[in-house]
Amino acid sequence: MCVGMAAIFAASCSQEEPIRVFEVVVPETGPRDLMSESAPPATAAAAAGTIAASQDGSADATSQASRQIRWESPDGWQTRPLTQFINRGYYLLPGPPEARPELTISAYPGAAGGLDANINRWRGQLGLEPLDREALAAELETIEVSGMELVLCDFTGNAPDGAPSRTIGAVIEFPDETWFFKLTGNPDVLTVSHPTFDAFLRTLQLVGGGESATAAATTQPSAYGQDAAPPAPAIQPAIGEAPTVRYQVPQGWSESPPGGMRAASFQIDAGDDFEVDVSLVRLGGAGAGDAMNVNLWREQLGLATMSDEQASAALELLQIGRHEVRIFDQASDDPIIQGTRRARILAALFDHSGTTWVLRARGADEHVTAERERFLSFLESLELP
Amino acid sequence: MTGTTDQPPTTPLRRASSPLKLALSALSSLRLTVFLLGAAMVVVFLATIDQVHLGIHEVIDIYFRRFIAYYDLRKGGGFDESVGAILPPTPFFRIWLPGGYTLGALLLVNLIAAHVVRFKLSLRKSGIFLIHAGIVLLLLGELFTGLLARESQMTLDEGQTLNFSEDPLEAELAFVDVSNPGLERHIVIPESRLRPGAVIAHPDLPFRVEVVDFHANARLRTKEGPAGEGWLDVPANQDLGPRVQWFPMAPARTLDEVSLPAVVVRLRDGGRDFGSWLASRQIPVSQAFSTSDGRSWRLALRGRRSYKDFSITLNEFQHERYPGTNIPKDFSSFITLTSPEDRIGRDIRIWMNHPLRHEGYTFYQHQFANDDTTSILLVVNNPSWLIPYISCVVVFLGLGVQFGIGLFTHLGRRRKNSAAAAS
Repeated sequence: MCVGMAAIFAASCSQEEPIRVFEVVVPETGPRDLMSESAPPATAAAAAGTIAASQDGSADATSQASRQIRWESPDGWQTRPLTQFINRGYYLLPGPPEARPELTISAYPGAAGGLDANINRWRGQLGLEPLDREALAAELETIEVSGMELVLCDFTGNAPDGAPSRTIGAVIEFPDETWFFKLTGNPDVLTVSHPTFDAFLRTLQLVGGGESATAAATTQPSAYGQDAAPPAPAIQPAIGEAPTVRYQVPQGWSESPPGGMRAASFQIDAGDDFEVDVSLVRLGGAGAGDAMNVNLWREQLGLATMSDEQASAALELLQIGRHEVRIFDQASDDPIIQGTRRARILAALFDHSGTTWVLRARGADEHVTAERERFLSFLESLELP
Repeated sequence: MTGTTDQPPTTPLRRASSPLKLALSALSSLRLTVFLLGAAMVVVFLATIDQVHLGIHEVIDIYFRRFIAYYDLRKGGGFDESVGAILPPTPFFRIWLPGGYTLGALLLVNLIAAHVVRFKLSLRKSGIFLIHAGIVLLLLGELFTGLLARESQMTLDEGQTLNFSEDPLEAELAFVDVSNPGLERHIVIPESRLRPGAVIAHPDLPFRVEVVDFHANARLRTKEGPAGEGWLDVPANQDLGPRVQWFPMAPARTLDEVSLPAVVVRLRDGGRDFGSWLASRQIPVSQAFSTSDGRSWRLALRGRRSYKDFSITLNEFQHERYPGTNIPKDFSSFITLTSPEDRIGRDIRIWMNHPLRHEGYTFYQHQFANDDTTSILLVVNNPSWLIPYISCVVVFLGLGVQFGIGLFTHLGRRRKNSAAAAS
């Protein structure tokens, strides 16, 4: 027994640990990821088209995205369901339970409003002043990864609720599409996450056009006011071109250039840095159904979703001009606008020539309510192609 | 030991005439038994109070899995403003002690020697032999467990499938040949070999690995300014290396802390220099490069992996609390175990005190995270896991036999006395 023990000790103590060599079979479907799953995660297969966001957040079935970028998601990054605005990837990074950094990956057709505008919008979300082109250029850094040019930014400020917040972002501008990688969180936590995010960006690989790069976006909408680059889904050109409409602009409404799926776009200055956003959008075909849009808006207001019957019953039926309109007019229970005001969405759904249109106003409760009459008069003046 | 040692002989031992008999006499001494048990109590006591400074794993390693242990007397410690952290006390004097292997080995030898010298195998003493045999088995079982058992963890998000587990305490530098789309070839260098200045070559690697620097624990940050205040530029010129700084730290010593090792290696292939690369457990992302033979490689520092020929999918993690409280009642992982011969898989529930045993591995419900959407299974591979159970049965049997013998002997004597008194 003593000899045996001595042999065991000798065998275990004397040798340097060996270098191991082994082979791992990799499933042929899906991306390889050396650091996390051995098999690709089961993703919800896309049905006929993804549910992507129209610019005003209505649900609409559209066609597939045009470009595929693959990446290696680090071990410990928790995948979250995609939303209408976060349409390519959504992760929660390791961190304190109440302050886990969030990485959103989105892609939109064209310039999606432009690099400067989007970077300044991110700055605005941190309470930082916008910068002109020259000043912005000094703040940005460009790196190349797998033949793609990534524009990096890193800003620290305060979130709308006053908590310190930091945004580290990367933007990739393609001729026909723009990708946004945005990491947000507490500055101290992001100091730890930053190197991993940096390493993650270096795993980006452009695969090519064709299939959608991610799991299908769910019908779960983004929260009201959540950031997105000016969202516009990848749509076929025939649908995507802004339709020509005629209307009378009500007093106090400032028109801005339409883009993406917006046939018309307005802002109403309500004072004290509040504004009401109004958009007119043509949805494809029958859209995703009234009930889906109602629940989408309710979720944006932080309200519970309804059954299809309840959602349909929640709509007010009106005849306005030549349109038979279904009106949605609800407010949030909690003050979700800058933490001080309740939000309200006033939306009108109507059909014209076999397609569904949505006119939607959103802003602070009292401001939207004050615009209801002008909203309805605009609707009456509307002439559609 | 157990209070069942034999009575000392009534006549003194004859003076031993040979060295062997002298040695046996000393090794079988009851005084030695008492001394060793006392020393074991002291070691256990010091190990227990040293857990304040050291983690459980380090305590086990320092006090019990060595021949020579030590206890450090410490002073100082407290909040240090310059680093903004609480620093541990500093050792200033070391007391050397017999380690667990020494005490266990001597107790084993003492027990066996006592049997050789004093005990004679008989039916009357069979219980004692069984008890002692069970104790010997227990000691040996602990030895085999210390030498052979391996623990690792499998961290699964809901919906995720894994076919490997990782050791959270031990790292490995992995070079993975991903040239073949369907098959990865992993060449992994254990953390113990990553010492600054080491040069590692292997037939499966088309390059030499030169360890430029290594820290058992270091924090990384993206370079925000010149090096200073403990932050050092990383001596790596590839990929992420030039963009980060590192802060070397002492290895984690408590269960709340985690050691994140980091290494910089230079890769050379004959005349070609592939540059120097940073790999860290803080950055669980692999880095890509190609070699002159056209092969594609990924490099990463990761927990020591153990791949299995079966996979586990976490379907759901449930965390039940007592109604009206936040007190945990039950943690359960609902998994699907898929093996090559069972492509559909078996649905299994793993919950507290109900592990899954499969192919020599035992999967325990260990921890959870991420708002109850991530389950962490403790994966144990211990070939000697049955030995403690067997030894307990043997000891219990021995106790039963010995006390049974004593009982019947006593009853027999009483019957005789009663009969004698009656007559």
